[in-house]
Amino acid sequence: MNVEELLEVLRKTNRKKDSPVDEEILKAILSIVILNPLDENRGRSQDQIHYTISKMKMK
Amino acid sequence: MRITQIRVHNFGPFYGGHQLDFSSDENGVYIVHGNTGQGKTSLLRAILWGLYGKALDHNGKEIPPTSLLNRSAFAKCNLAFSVMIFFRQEGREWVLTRKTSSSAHTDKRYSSGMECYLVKDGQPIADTPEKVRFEIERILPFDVSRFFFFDGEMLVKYEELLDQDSHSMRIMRDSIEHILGIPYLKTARDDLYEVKKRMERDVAKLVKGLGGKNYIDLAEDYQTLCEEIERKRETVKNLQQQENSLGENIADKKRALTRIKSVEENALRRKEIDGEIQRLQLLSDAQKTKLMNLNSQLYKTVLSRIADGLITKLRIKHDSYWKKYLKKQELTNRKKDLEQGMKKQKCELCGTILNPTKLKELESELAKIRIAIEELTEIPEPNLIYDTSAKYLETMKSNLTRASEYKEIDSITVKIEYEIARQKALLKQVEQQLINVDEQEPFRLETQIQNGIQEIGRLQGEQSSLGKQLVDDLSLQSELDQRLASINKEELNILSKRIDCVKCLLEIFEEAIHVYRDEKRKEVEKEACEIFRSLRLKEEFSKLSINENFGLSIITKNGTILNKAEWRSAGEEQIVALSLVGALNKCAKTKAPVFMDAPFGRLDIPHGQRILSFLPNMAEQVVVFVTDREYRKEDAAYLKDKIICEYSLKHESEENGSSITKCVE
Repeated sequence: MNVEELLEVLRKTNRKKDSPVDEEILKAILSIVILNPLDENRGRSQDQIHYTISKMKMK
Repeated sequence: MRITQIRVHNFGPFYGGHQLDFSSDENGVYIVHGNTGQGKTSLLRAILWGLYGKALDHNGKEIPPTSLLNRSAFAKCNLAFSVMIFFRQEGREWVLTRKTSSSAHTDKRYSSGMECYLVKDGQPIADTPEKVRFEIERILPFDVSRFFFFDGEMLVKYEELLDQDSHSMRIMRDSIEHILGIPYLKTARDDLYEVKKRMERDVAKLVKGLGGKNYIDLAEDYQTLCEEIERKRETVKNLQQQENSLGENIADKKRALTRIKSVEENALRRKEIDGEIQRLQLLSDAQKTKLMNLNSQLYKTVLSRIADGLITKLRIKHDSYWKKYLKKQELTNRKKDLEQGMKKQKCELCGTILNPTKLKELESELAKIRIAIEELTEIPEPNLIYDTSAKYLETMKSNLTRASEYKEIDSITVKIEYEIARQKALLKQVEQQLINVDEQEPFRLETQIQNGIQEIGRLQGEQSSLGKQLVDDLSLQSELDQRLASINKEELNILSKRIDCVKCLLEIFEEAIHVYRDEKRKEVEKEACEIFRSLRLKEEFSKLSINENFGLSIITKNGTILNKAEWRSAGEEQIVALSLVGALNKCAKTKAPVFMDAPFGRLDIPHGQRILSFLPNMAEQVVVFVTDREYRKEDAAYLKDKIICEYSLKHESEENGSSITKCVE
């Protein structure tokens, strides 16, 4: 799965924000969702996103 | 994804094991020939069953496993069937095996007896249907498979994308969004929302843990507010779902009403057709009477050949008899004069006394006249029968039946009979549609539609009210957020920052969905236009235009938008749908082969040829299932050198089922 195109749209949208987020988090969230596409994967996907955000350094 | 081989065993019409090879590394087209009932559609179903464990019929309904088992296998109590798909994905060799066996011929037993394995580069990676589904959904999701494995005849269903209310339109639109990758952004947004809820609960828990009445009250207020916001969001979501479902329901009822109204029109139409048939029947009867009259005079035509001779003979006879008649008259007058003269013994003319010699001469003359009169006794009194008959025959000749009259009546009769047959066929169609029509149904439907519209209004009002309440709640939540942020506890601060971050991420993903969808729509429209231009024959069709639901409309050179199915022919509809499928394949995140059944069923030969020329551009690997009517030997020229291999499907017998053979040039 080529995520670059989706990621590019997210990056562009992020850059327009007053306080953009770290682009790596966008990539990480997208990768988690792509690896967990099914309805029954939602719980695991949310755990991973929660974990990823929790590990982020907050400014 | 590139399929390299398909093996079927006891599946559909295929008894025992059969296989199709697509192992060439070349890009191009595989052609599978087979007339109706040989197994083309079954092969397509076998692929879908192999990949997803379900095969669908033409109405999108799942075919039960008991109907998938080959009949001969069933007759021999061999209750097992399987499909193996060999494919290449991201440079790896994969083998997917799906088989089912049962001790009893029931759907439940087959479903519970299903086994599934997935092997990647010789290593097993999934051994249950659930695990296999997970892997296959990542490679080629079921929702998007419709753009790769499809029946050409079903392409017309894409016109539903032009329908704003249809439920199937939404399913189709979602599938298109899926193939373009939009659901990944949507899923990420929904997951982020759930993460935010989880973090908000953590905040409340943390604040509560700080102790003290103020903190506990603040935490409880915060938690209650968050729960309230969540409850309202859920309610709004449910109301929206209710509104959507009601909208679909109303749309269905409107369609039913339209159908019924067309039935009412049909009732009027039936009356009109009945009247027309009666009128035509009268015309036909008049022509038949004319024909009978002509037939009754037909003997004259037969007689006309001998009439000329008869007329001549009759004239001769008449003349001869007339002469004799005049002669007899002359002799009778002479006889009368002689008899009177002899009786008075003097000449009747000059009064001279007749001497015996003269009397003797006169007697002799009288005797001769009597004999001559005697000879003419067969001549009747003035006899005109021969003259009358001749005249009758002459009149008859001038009134002979002409072949052109027959031809004219025949031509009119054929036209009338054809029109009667046409009207009767129409009448039959109309009557079919009038069977089981409930006269009260339109009234009921209209009432239900009105009630539904009122209910939608109520739901919208409720949503609007909840929306306003949500705005207030969010404003209150923002105030509470500020109060929470003012608590000088590091852990709480970090958590609040994380929630802010998630909120920001939510906004980014939400906006990205709209941006990406718009970009993709434009891209699909551009690609579809190019394909459409290469396929269409009508020069007045200028381009295609895409709507919010990815439905395509034809734009003419004059700028007229043809966006309703009834304005386009089924063939044109198929060309537009193929343009869409081709464009989606080009723009898709997923790459896979295209397997197409009956691709030219609704097309004329020139359009079929254009699509043949286009097929190699649809995907790297294209497999078409065709009948001999759709694809003829000479059509190979349109595929140029892009044909990789051809197969033929043949139904051998009821016992042996269908077989697959490779065509040798």
